[in-house]
Amino acid sequence: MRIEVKYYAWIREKIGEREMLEADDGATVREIVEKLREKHADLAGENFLIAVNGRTVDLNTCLKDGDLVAVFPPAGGG
Amino acid sequence: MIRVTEKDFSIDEVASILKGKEVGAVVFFLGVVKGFREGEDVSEMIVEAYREAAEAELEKIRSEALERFGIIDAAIIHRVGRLKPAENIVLVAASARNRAEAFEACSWMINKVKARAPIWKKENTARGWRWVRETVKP
Repeated sequence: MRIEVKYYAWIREKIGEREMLEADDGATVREIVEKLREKHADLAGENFLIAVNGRTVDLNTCLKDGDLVAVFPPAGGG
Repeated sequence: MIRVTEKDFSIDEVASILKGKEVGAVVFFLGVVKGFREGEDVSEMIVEAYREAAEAELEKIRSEALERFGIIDAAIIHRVGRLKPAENIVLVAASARNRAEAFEACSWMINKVKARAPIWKKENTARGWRWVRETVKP
């Protein structure tokens, strides 16, 4: 299946705005995070959060084809 | 009332929305762009949001405040885009029968906005652009 990954803030500046990722059917968020960490050395040491289709999720959530995964740093507004 | 917007906001407009027959107090927190941080002048700021998730989180914070403090109404508005020093960034407001719970709710909400909303600030200084990486516990 194909997953779209979108990055925000300083993570976007290091990696790029978005990319498509191939993953096994039923892959979990945890597996996608591991894949991203393997692919992007710049993610080392970064603390980031994940949302799928606009909702924050836990690492055991299963993904499906066409899901949009957002990778973003902890909050820093206000 | 929740808003993530490029446009500036009117405190009077928010006050008129939050006032009501039972309201005896409306407390506001107004966050503005600082022109100075860590020894350096700041000439400009960019505020970026993961808008969909930010709006959902602000709504959640507002709902939690209504329940937790027994206030009558609440508003959270956060601006995004390019801002200059002294421009408004964020407005948090709580209306209640009495001032104590309005103050408490307002303070609680801005702390939660800073800790939980996926919104980030980038400042321009003499040494160039830098992200503001404040750590606030959720």
